[in-house]
Amino acid sequence: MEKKKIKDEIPGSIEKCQEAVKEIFQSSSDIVIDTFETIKGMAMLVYVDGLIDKNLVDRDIIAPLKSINFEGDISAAIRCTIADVDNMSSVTGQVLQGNTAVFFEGRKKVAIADLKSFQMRSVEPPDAEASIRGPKEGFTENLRTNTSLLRRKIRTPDLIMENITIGRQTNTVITLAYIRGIVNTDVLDKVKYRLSKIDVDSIMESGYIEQYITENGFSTISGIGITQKPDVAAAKILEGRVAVICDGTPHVLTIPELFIENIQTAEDYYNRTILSSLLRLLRVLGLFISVMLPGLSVAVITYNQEMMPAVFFQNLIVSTAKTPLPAGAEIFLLILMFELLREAGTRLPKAVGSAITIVGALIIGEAAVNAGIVSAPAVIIVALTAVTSFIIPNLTEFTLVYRLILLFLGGSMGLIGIGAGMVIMLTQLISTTSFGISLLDSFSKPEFKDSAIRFPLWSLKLRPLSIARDNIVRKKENK
Amino acid sequence: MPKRLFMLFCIALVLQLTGCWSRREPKTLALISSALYDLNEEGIYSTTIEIINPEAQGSPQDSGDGKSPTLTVSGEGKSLPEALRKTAESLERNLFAGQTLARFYTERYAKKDIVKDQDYFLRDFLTDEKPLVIILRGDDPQLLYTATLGLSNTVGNYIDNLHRTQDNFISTAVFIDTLMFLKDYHREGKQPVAGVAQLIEDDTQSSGNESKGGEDSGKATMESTGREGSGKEDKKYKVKYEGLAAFKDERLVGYLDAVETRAYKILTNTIGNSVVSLTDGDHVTALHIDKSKASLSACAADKGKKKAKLDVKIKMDISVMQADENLDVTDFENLKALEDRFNKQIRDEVLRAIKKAQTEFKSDIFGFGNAMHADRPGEWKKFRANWDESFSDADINIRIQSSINRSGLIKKTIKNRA
Amino acid sequence: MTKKPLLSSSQLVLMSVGSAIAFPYTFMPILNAPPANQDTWIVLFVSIIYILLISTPLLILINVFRGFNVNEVLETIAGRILGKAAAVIFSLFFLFCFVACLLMAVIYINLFILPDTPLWALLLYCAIPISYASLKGAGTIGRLAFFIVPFVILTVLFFFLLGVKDIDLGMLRPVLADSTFLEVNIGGFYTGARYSEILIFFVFSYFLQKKARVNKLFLTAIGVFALSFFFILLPILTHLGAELARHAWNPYFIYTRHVEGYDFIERVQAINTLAWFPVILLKLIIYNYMASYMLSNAANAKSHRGCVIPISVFGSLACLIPLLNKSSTVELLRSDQVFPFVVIPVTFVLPLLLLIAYFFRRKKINKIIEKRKHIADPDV
Repeated sequence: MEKKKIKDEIPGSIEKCQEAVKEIFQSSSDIVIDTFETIKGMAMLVYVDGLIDKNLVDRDIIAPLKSINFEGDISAAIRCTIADVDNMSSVTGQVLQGNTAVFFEGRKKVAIADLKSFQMRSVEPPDAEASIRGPKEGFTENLRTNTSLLRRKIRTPDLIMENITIGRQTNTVITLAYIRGIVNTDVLDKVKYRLSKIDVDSIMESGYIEQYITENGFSTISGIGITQKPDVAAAKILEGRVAVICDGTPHVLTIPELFIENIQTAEDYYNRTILSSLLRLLRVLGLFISVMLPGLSVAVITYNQEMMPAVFFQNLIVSTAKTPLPAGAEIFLLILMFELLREAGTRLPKAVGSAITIVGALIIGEAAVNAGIVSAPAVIIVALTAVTSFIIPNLTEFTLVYRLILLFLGGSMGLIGIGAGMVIMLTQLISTTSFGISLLDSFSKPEFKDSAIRFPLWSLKLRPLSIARDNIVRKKENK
Repeated sequence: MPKRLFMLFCIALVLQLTGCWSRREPKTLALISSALYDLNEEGIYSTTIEIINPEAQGSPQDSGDGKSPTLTVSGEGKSLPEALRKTAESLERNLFAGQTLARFYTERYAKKDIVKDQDYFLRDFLTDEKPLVIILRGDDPQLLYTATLGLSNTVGNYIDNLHRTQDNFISTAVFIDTLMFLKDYHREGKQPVAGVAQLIEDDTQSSGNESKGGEDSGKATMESTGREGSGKEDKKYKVKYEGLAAFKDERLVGYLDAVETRAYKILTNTIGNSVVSLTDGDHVTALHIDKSKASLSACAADKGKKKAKLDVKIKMDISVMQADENLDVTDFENLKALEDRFNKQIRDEVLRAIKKAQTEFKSDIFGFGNAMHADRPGEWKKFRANWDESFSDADINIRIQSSINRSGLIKKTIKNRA
Repeated sequence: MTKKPLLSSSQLVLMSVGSAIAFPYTFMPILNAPPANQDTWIVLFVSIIYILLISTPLLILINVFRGFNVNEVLETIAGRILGKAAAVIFSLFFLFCFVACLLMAVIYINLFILPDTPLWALLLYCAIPISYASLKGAGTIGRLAFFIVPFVILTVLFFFLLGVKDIDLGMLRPVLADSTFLEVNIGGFYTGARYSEILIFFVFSYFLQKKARVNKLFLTAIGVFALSFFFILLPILTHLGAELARHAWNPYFIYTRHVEGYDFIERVQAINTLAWFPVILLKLIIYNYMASYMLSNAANAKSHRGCVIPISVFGSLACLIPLLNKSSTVELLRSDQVFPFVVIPVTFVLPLLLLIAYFFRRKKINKIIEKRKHIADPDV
């Protein structure tokens, strides 16, 4: 440690500096060390090739330093400096971030210039969370673009963007965005604390952060929201949440996420009230079907036949008489088949994907029934389940796990099993917290107005009370 | 917590593997549509159950492959459950009584005691109190399952469809499910009743593929070259669902015919709507009962409180369905006269029904005792013990008010040319 | 130390309603209490007066000792040893209720829903959710009630509305003619004496938000309970009649099997099952939690968690005892000979003694309460 500390200092002479830099970066091919002479002495630029704009380096650094008007004051000469650092490790960090380090003969400090320019994807509509009404832009892989997208939505000095670097090797920059005065400070402190506790090699994507900071490691619900849309992120920040933007990924985390947010979309607020409310109720129904339908139908088919309409029951007997499996196993098999097809479909190139769909539809829908492997009612049940599972994509993990649990419980104990499963599911949901906030707490009166239904915007006077604690009024009373 | 959840998951899996005890796969079930119960003189129960063959259900074209839409099996035993188990002996499916629609009881069975056997239906897990209670008249009850049915393919469905569509329409039959039957049995001052089905010879030509020529060969030959009716085997029966079986406590005591059944339905406020024809020589007027409200009451007729008095008040809204030429629906006097004729006819019918219950059955199937219990609980306490006798020789007082409110789409009867 | 969970007032109300409604929902003891005829619905309303009377001593104690947990209350009033003894009596009562209710639940399931399933499997399916939710503590139980009980009340209303067209109010006549005033009162007393849900207030009011007013909540709880009970009782009396209903194990089940609507809603007792099972689990969860909470406090344990699973296991094992595992045992528990006489000493006699003790040691205790208030709210 001692040695390193000594080495950390910036040596006075450029040769020593050069040596020090070379020692740090060894022979990395993309590190450019450019030494040149000015009228006041030697200067050295260190940057990563490909992360900076060389034209700008020429114009903004080399040209002023080489000019005859240069008086030896680096910071006066170079306008684009963002910092002056006095140790080698900071220099390394800045260079790796894509900044340019400017060493100067005899100067114990290094000027850091920001002339970043690198290849990146432009702002495009996100692939998930498509919307018909509302902004189409989505976050990109570039942190700065993302923060700018947010800043363009919320133009207030209270929007704070704090940077934290995590990852011993990757040194990923993470930005916490929140609004001072609205944000729930308990949550913010917890987020900061947990982020500071992360000590790992790498942060490749915001999913890493999600898994490191969530308190529900094994739960089916993380309590952390993910969005690709700046308007969604901005709205959530405005409700008192914290957004965690991770460099290198378009997926922004919003903390905390209540359960009810899964059935809410940005469009609910852009469309008119009644339509939005109906759509939300539809999504709640979809969630219920997606979780309960296989288990419930198996329970009814094998335990409570008397409640089926007689005609349907007779048809059911006819169609299941020719299949080998019991009803529960049949539905399980179909769910399995569907998940296989879905997995194959997402991973395959688009061109092949459609082939999988056709094969899947044929196998599941037609051939399996004709061949007498599964019965037609089972196909319908699983198809409905599959369709509804796409309605709430964020809850895939939750729905899949509980769908299977309820299927087995319903198959083994009928409605009693379903009841037991429901109590367990509810208990888990209820007792799950996200950063100290209970997931299903969104049923107080002002929050109810924006939960499974949405009241008109003018009546949503308060922010969600379970999240915003201090500054809860979002709309002043009309006079 | 996660561990525990996982544990539960595993246990559920294990349970699924080791067998699910109460599970009934649909394909292993035999759906009972209706059942016929009989009790002979030696005290042996015999049961015939009608099982739906789901393969042969559906459109009539499907049944062309010779599969019968139903299967009937029967068994005997010293008790009802035993007899039912016997029926299942030769059956390769499990009996499923959860959707039984009707239970038929033979006349001789009903005359003994059908209430004590209802205990089994309510006690058992699968049977319930939904099926209709029907007394089957006729000498050979087993012919029930050979009878031709309307458009339905099982007897149970036939009765159930009848119940759903015709209950409000014919008003000459009652549809009493097991719960209603037992409710009346347990109710103070009201005796239970049940529906009645009768097997009668089907001498009309039923249309479609069922018509294979009946015993009335004259009609059969009219249609085609005609297969001669070859005697008794081809005799067709059909189910006539009409009337009402009156009980005294747990025993069948007699039947009401169609008209008396309508009176019963009027008295118990269960009449939906019904057509009443008033005939006067060649003149016929048809009236329609839209709404009827009867209030029964019973009280002591004398101070000794031995003799009872029955009071019936009926208010009816009726409308004209068909008018004869004498009727002028715009004339109030004319309508009034019609109302009076109507009242008289209804009064006669109601009186006939009550008299029959009093003299023939000695059983208060209308619930006069119940009315006394509700209105005059004090008097009821005295009558309660011997209500059936008091009912039998009680005086009857009937008041009927009716008003013709609607007279249809035409003003003058169509026969009137002037 | 973790923060103590907070219950909202509606959660507490729904908890007590859910727990109280579980018995009428399973089988109606009120139908067998005198006078056992069509006047039973009057008995229901009379019983509310008795509930209020019986609950008064505890209610006074709860109001005096807001902010104290149960064991602190007991120990403050009765001293260390006697307080602990009282706590043990309470927890034994909860344990008894737990076992009795579990026994009823599994035997009921065995009779009506899953006849061929062995008891141990049913017990497993009850004990796991119970232990799981009970381990999670008061806050979770409150929220659980918030989701389960409204569902139950909705199904009750659903069945009521389906049957409303066939309601025959004549079945309720004559009113008060066949039963004497005394009979109605005895019936009311027996029915009221079964109501042990004041103990839920006793235990859980510690977790209640500060501003909530316990008296008002208790009245609301009784009102909601009585109304839901009424909506269960009325269709039974009018559809089945009191006489036939008394023959049935669970008349409400028969009623729900009998309702019809729109030509396709038939024999939908499964919906009743689906609502009934969670609410009976909720009751068991609450009693499990209360028993383990009081036991662990009496044993000076840090959290109730240690007792939850042993209690569940004990309850399950007790249900497997061949002597208890009979429908006739449940019939006995359902009758007026057991529950009222077990509940009354705990909900009325013991609290009354405590109340008397409190009045004798009033000055000293009030000082402790004052002191406690200052510590509890330093900012006030």
